[in-house]
Amino acid sequence: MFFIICAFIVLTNPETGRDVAGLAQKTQRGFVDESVMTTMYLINARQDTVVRNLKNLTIERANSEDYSIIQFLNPPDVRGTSLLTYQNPRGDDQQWLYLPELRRVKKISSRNKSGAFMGSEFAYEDISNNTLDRFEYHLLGEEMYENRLCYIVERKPLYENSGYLKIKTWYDKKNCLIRRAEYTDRKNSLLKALTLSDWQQYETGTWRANSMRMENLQTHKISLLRFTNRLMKIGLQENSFNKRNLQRLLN
Amino acid sequence: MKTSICLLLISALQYANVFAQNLQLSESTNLCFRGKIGFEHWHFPRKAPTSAMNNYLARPSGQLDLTLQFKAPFEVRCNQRIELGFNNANQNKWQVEDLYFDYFQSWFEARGGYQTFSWKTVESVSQADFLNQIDLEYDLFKPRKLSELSLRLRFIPASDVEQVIEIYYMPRFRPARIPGNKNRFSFGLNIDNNEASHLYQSPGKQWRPQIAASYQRPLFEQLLDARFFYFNGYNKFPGFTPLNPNNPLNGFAHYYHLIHKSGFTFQGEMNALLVKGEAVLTAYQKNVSNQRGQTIKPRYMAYTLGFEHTYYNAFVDNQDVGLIFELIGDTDAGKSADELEGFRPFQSHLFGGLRYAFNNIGDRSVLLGGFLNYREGDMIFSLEYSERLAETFTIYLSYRDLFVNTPPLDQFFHTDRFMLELQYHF
Repeated sequence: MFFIICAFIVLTNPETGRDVAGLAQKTQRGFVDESVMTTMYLINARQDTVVRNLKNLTIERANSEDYSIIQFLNPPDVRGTSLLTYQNPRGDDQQWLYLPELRRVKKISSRNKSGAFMGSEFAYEDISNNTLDRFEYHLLGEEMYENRLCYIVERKPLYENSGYLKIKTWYDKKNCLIRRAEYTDRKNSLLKALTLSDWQQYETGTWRANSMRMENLQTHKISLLRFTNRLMKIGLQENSFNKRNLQRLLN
Repeated sequence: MKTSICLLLISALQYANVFAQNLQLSESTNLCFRGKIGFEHWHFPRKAPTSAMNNYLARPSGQLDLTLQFKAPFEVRCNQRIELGFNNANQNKWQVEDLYFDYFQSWFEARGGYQTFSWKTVESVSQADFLNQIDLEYDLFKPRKLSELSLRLRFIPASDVEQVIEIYYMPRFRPARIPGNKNRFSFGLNIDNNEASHLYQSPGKQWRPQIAASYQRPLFEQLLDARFFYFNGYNKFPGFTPLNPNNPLNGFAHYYHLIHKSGFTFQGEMNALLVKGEAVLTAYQKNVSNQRGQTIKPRYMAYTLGFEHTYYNAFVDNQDVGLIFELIGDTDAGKSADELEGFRPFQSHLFGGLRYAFNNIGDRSVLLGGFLNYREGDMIFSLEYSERLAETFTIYLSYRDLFVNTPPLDQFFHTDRFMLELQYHF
């Protein structure tokens, strides 16, 4: 599988922005299922830092209709709060939130694409698995970024409620991995810059960035995501991704 | 006693920091825990109708929630809370909120022990959340649930959509806690809360086990999550009967009536709205007396229907405004309180809420809410503020104001309340 994907990436010569994005997306697929611990560092302009911990479970499904559970491990008052997402590439995702204090599974609106995820600089649309058809693409050219030759692709969200007018993205020409993205807000002002690093290829052939740094260029706040203990193809069952299981602390 | 409990709580706090919410006991056993230690202060600005009633309430509390997880699909949970009432001994409580074993497979689950359930889908007055008894002594308008000794079996048939069949068996009935004379929410009837004096409509005037069943599935191409249910047991809020029929001044005993309840709940997303609702048909199994002494056999449908809409980035980037509207109704609406059996304060109300979420690190939010009785004009307003401070503390401030002139809520006109709650979480 690994060699097939590598060969595919090397042999295919993208001609359009959509081709580049398509190849980039292929590097992210094939994981079957995934478990990862996430540490989120929220750094304000005075460099004060707050840390959040999450556990993510995802199961890969056909047509990118993946299921995922995010469980909040801290701060302690929200420990056990869990978010179940059924991705829908052709429309709005379905989401449910389990609130342990109330013992209640609450259906929530997934239209909040531009809202801050856990008070961070990441919006929900930045961390969700955005499928190809959700954007319009323009290949702007090639450029060196940190000693790597990159494709520059401008993506414009086609879905409703996005907080962005466009996203300028640097794709590594060698393997189509995203190295950087710059987000322009609806007022046409440069809003945020995302840097991805610590890329690692796993046994399933899937690539993942184990470090993501989002800087708000207007407020100078920074959010840093670090991923550890990432495991793939561990035998998660599709029927475990349901509202009932949100109520249990994940082992 | 109070000092030793405080010391115990402080010790628990010390251990909490050491264990950092997770303790690996063995390769296959894990102890997860969370808890809080806090303090509540209530102040009632209006003069009480009797000198016995408290003008304030000071209540330290602690909670420890332990879950022992095994490698196998099996876990045990023990979640308990301690509260101390500084000026009202009735507020001294040790509550086991959960104490159960849980066995779960993909197609079957069994959970037995003291449990707290939630069938609620609405935000204001839930009609469907009746499996657990409630503690009215805590707060008449936001009563706490009391855990029930119960066995819950879940069956999950294999199908394209998630379907869940649940069966509940509750072998022991837990009576209500009616506020005492010191409590601002007292009914003023000298009600005897001693369990030995309670009466039940079942044979022998003793309680009998209760049962319930529910079926959950999505409807309309997964647009709505629906639950259909049936319950056979006791009305949780009792009627009151004189301890001595010849002399009502001696006080009143609880009288629990047998009822059937059936209904449904739903919640779902329709365009930009989250819609939700609950409807419950309550049918008494036998005749009862209403507050006028007339024999009746109540049968009524109570419902709460509403929607929620959020304006994202409404005024400031990353800050949201949520609006909630709910209609609370009852097919007995319009009858006077003494024609009814039991205490049913919300029968013809509109609830409106506005929540401003700052979405900051501390999850600061402000909530303005209100009930309007559209028949009588009575109103209840509340303003709430909550925030997390220094990661491990939370502060909650609220003020509730009542403008009530009609029964049955008019007797609580003096329960306007300011509340401060500080909690340390671990």
